[in-house]
Amino acid sequence: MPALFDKKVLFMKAKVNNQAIKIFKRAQIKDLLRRYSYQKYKEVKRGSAIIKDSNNNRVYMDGEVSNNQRYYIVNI
Amino acid sequence: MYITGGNFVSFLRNNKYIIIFCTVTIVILSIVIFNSRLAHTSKNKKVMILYSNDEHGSLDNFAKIASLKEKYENDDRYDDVILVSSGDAFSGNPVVDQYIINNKDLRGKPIIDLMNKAGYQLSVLGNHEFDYGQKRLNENIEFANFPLLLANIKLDEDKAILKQPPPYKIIETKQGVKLAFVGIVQINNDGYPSTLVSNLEGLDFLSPTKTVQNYLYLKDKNDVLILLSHNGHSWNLNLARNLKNIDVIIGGHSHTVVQKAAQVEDTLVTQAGSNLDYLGKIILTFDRNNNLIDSMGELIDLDEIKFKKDEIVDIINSYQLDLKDVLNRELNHLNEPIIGVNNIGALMTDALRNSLKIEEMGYEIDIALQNVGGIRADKIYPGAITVGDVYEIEPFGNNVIIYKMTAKQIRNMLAISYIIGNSVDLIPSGLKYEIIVDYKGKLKKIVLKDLDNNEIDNNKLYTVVLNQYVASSYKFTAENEGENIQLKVSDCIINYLENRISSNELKKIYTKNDLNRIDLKITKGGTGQKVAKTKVDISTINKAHASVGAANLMADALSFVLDVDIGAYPSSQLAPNIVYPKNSPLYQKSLDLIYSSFAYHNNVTMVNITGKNLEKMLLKQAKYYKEGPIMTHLSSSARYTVEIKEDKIKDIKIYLNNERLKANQKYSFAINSYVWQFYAEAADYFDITVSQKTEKEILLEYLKEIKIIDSSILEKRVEIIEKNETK
Repeated sequence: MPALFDKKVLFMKAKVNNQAIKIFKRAQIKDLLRRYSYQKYKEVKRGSAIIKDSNNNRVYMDGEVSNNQRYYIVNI
Repeated sequence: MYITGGNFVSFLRNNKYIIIFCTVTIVILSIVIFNSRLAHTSKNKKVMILYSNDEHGSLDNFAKIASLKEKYENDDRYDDVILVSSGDAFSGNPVVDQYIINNKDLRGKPIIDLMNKAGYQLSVLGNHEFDYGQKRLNENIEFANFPLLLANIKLDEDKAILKQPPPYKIIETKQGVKLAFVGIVQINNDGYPSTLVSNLEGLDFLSPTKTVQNYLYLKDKNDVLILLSHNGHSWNLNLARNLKNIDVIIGGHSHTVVQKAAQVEDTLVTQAGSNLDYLGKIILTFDRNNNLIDSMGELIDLDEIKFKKDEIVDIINSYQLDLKDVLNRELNHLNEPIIGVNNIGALMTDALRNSLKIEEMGYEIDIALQNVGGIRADKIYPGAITVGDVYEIEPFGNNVIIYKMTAKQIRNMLAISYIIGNSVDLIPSGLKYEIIVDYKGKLKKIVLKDLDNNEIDNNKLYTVVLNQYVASSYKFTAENEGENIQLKVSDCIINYLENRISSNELKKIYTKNDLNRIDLKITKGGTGQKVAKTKVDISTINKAHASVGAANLMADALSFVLDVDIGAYPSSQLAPNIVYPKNSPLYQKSLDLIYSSFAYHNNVTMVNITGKNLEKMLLKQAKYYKEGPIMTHLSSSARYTVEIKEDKIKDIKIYLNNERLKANQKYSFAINSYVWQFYAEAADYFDITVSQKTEKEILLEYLKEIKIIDSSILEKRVEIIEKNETK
C-alpha cells in the first residue's frame, strides 16, 4: 500500500495555456481544466473548444494528465 | 537540323557541362525510381496493424472494426493484417462495469467477447484492466482468445491471485515477417498504475523504461519490435527519443488523438484517442529480406465508416438488452421513498464515509461532502433500489478524492461554496454544520458540529473525502493536494446499499422528513431598503406535513395580486428548514432564503378549472411526490382536507369560504409555472395564461401593499384526516 499522504507522491503539475496548475495525482484532463478555468471547461464540454498537447495532438477530457505536460485550449 | 559526326564531337565539347549534368540527373532519378519501385514491387511485403486503445467499455464500434479488418484481410496488397489494443478496455460503461448477471460476476465480459469476435490478436493490460480485481482479471484473460501482455509486472506468488501475464508475443505473418510485440503499463511515482491499489496485492510493477530495455534484444531475433505501451503519448515520445531499436510504439492512457503517427528517430509513435472514436492503421513495408523499409500510421474516423459486420451488431444489441438486467439488479429495498437532495445527499456521503474499499486501503474517513448539483435525482422510489437508481443519482463516474483538512479549512470551503452559490450546497456525513447569515443572506459564521451536536475539535486534522468534481472545481485549501484512489463514487454507493446497510436502517435513516445536517440560521443584520416587516416567524419547517407560513404567504400574494380565487404554492419549491425570525425587517434578498424557486425566476400560470379537477390535481400531486401529504399550500380563503387510510393518501376535498368546491363550477387558480406542467397532467383546465411578472415580483408587490406580515399566514389551512380501520 502507498504511504498515506506520502509527500513524495502528493501531486502532479501541468500547464494549461502556459499557466502552471497543481492537481491531485491521477487527475484527468477535465480536472486540470476545471482547476484552470471553469468557463473554459464548459466551452470544451460544449464542443466550442478542444484541448491539444504540446505536439499539437488533440487530447480528450477523460485522458489522464501527464506530469509536466503542457496543454492548450483551442477554440474551434 | 541534323548533327553530323564532326558536329557531334563539337557539340559534345561545347555542351559537356550540360551533358554531365543531364547524365548525373538521369542516374540519380534512375536510382530513386528503382528504389521506389523496389519498395513497392510484389517482392515487398506489407503488413497492416490495426490498433485501438482506451476502449473504456465502448461497444458500438466493434462491428465496424471487424468489418474493416475483414476488408483489409481480403486485400491482397497486405501480407497480413493484425488487430491489437493498447489497453484499458474496461471502465466507463455500466453494461461492462456492472455486468453481474444472475448473481454471477461477469464484469468486463461484454468487451472481451466483442474483442474476440472482432478478431483482436493481442492487447496489453492497461491500468483499468485491474479495476475489477485480480480474480476477475484472470477470468477475463482466460475468456479472451488473444493474449493480454504485460512485461513490467512481477508477481509475489504467495500473495498474488493474478496469473503471470506473458511479457511479449511474436507474430509471424503469412510470408514470414516476424513481429515482436511487448506490453507495458504506466506506473505513477508511488509505484502503482492508476487503479484501485487494494486490487494490486502481490503485484510489483517494474519501471517501464528499464523493462523495455530488457526486451530490446527481441529486435535482433525478429524483424520489428513493436511496443504496446499503455503510457501517455509524451512518455512514449521520450522513450522513442532515448531508446533505439523500437520500430513502433502504439500508446494509450492519455487519450491522445495522433492523426498521423509521429516519426521520432527510427520509431513510429502513435495513439488512437479513446472510446473507439478512431481505429489506427499502421502499414509496415518490408523488403524481400524482411528489412523494414517504410512505415506509416494514421487514424480512421469510425464515424465515417458505414459498414458493420452484422453478426457483431447482433451481439452488441444483445449486450445492450442486458443493460436492462444490469441496471435492474436489486441492491436493497425500500418501503418508503427517499425524498429530496438532503436525504439522498446524506445517503451518498454516508456511503463514501463507510466505504469498505476505502477502509481496505487503510484510510479512516472522518467527513464526506457531496455537492447538491452532483445529485441528479430528487427522489428514490419505494421498492427495489437498483444499480440503475445509483447511476441516475450519480451519472458522472466521479472518482473519490481524499484530503487531509483542518477544521478551519473545512469551514472556509463550506463558506466559499455558500457564498459562490448563495445557497446551501455541500451535504456532509460525519459532521453537521450551521450557516449563520443576516437578514439578506450574507454569511456571518459557519459552526461545525460533530454528530452529538458539539463543536468539532479545531486542532484535529480530518480525513475528508470529496468527489472528483468538487475536488477540481471548488475553491479550497487542504493540507495535501488530494489522493485520487481510483474508486468511483457510484461503486461506493452500490457497495453501501448492497453490503453495508439493511433495509430497516435505510428506512430509519434516510426516509425521515427532518433529516437535515445543515441548519441555516437567520440572525440580525443587513442594510438597505426594507420591503416589509414580519411580526411572526416565517417558517418552512415540516413543509409537507403542515401548513407553513412561508407557503401561505406566497399563496396569498398570488391570490391578491393576480386576483384569482385560489393562489397556490408547492412545498417542493420552498427552501427546507428555514425560520425567518419574527419582528424582523424583510429585504428583497431575504425572500431568496425562504423560496428556492426564486432562483429560477419562474412566472405564474393561471387557469380556470372545475372544482372536481382541482381536487384531482392536488390529490395526484400529493400521491406522486410522496414527500408528505401536503404538497400544495393554498391562499387564505381556501382550505382543504387530506384523507389518509392505512398510510395512503385517499382523497382531497377543497373548500373556498367554507364551502366545498362545486364539482363542475369553474374557479380561477394560480401556481408557479414550473410545477404547473406536473399539475396539468392530472386533469383538464381552461383559459390558460402566464403572468408577466415573476413569482418574486408578485410577492414584492403584495408586501408593498400589506407592509406587515401578521399571524394570518400561520392559519392552519390543511387538515389531515387519518381514517385507519379499527377492529
